[in-house]
This record gives sequence, structure tokens and C-alpha cells, in this order.
Amino acid sequence: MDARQRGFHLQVRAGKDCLECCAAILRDANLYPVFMTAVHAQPHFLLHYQFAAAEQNFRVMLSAPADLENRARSLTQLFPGLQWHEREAHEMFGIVFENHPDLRPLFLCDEDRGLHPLRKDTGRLKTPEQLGCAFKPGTAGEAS
Amino acid sequence: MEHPGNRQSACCEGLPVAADTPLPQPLRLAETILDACRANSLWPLTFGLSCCAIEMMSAGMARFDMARYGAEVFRPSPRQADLMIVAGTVNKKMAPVVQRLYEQMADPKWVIALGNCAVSGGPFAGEGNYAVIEGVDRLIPVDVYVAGCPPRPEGLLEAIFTLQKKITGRRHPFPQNRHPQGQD
Repeated sequence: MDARQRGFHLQVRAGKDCLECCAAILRDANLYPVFMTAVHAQPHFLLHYQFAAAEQNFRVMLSAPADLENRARSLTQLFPGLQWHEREAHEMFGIVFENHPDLRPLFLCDEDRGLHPLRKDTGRLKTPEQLGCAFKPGTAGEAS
Repeated sequence: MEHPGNRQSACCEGLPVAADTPLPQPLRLAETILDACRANSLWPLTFGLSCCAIEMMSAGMARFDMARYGAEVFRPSPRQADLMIVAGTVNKKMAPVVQRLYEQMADPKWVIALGNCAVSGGPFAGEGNYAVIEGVDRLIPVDVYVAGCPPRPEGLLEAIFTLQKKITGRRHPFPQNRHPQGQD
């Protein structure tokens, strides 16, 4: 599938510890975050970030897994624009972002605090391999 | 240009009008005149929540022009409005706001539920629904329902005619509003 069908030109699969380094590299390359979302996969949530180049027509999709306890590092120090995206991921999926300045619910009302509505039924979860986002350490440099 | 899909069947009335107690003749005449005046100058409250707001805006613009029927003056304050057009999806977070604005409007007031979301929750009503109120008539009493996702601006005009008929008994309170080739 080419970039026009997928929507991005480069897919980066990171391990959970290298998420911040990858984001720092993208920041130095003058890319800005477009959106951040999460996918309920097995055994842990997958976080997807899309970055776009400010001057060229170039988009990068960065995928990283969360912890087994559904915690992840927040990227708000590098990209403050991801604050609301992480708030939404927190209220919809239950992923806790460490070092996030303000992790209140964004869209849902107060009574729905523990609802996490975008989680899937556990019988239907896919693994990162099935979703094409698995991080295989040692295969760095595989750009697709 | 007539759209058969937007005849009066596209919108239906909500609550029946309360049976009038027989008033003495001068008061009945005054009420008739006042009803015609109210129906011909409905002031809507800007309450576009979602995509149907675009249809409401285009019904107020040049091509479809609600101003011909007196309903162009959108008021941002509920104290100055007498018609609340709920155009769009009402979420659980927005529900107390809708109720508060309805209570702040002064009588006599009317409500048009524009679009499938305001009528019944629209495409969001169903098993996995977690945030959408399935129909604004769960919160406030609705006078006219307009189906569509989104309904055409002519549908909103039909809703205004239906409401004018509900208020005065006639589709157009004053004869100069009648379309030469239209109904009535």
C-alpha cells in the first residue's frame, strides 16, 4: 500500500522504552504531531502517533506499546499539543500517562469516569503482530 | 423547486396543543392576533450542536432564506428567543446545558428537534452507545420533529411551517408568505 492509501509515508515501530527517543528525533527533524490514538490489543495497548513534516509532504506513523499495567510515558514535555490527545486516550482506554500535567477526562461526563468505552471485548483482541505493529528488537532501520 | 420528500410528512408534530378553554370573544380575538404575530416572527436560539447546524445556517442564508418567514433573527441569549432549534447531537455532557437554556427561555416557547440525533439519537443510538442522549425529547418537550441526517434546509422550512400551523392553525399566518406554486 502506498502512502496515498495508508495516509503516511513511514511507519516506525518502537519499543516502549524508546518512545521518547523516537519522539525527540522526530522533533529535531521538525515534525509536528498530528494525532495520537490507542488500540486495545493483546497483551497491552498500542499507542499510535502520527507526525507530519512542517514544510514537506511527509507523514510518519509511530507505534509503541504501553506497559502491562497500562502505563505509558507522556510526550507532553516534547509536544505540548499532545496533552488533549493523551487525556482522551486516558478516559477512553484507561492508559495512565506519567508526567502528564492534567489527566482529567476531556469528552466524557463525570459519571463515566471508569467507563473506558473504547476498550474491546476481550474475546476479540488481536496481537501487535496481527496488527502489523510489533516491535522486534534488533531490526532497527527497517523502514516501510 | 419542490422536493416531495420534504412535504409535511417529513416533520411531524410533537405534543398536541392543549385544548383551549373557551375564552370570551375579545380575548379570543386578541389571542388570534397575538398567535399570528408570534408565529410570523419566531426568534430562534442559536443552538447548533453538530452537523445539522450547517443545514440550519444554510436555511438562514440567501438560497433558502428563513427570513421570508420571519425566523431569521437568531438570538444568542435564551432570554430573547422563543424558538429553540436543537440542531445536532446531544451528549450526556451537554444535557444539563440544554435543560438550563430551555428553562431560561420565556414562555411562550417552542422546540424543533432538527435531525436524527435530536429526534432519536440518530446513528449513535444502539447497543454500544455510551455518550449520546437518544433524542432530545428525553430532556425537553419537543413541538416539531424533523427527520433526516441531515435534513435538507427545506426540511427546516417545513418545520417552521408546521410550527406556524401548530400555533395559528394555518400554514402561513399571513398570505404574502405563501409560495405561488406550493401547498396551501
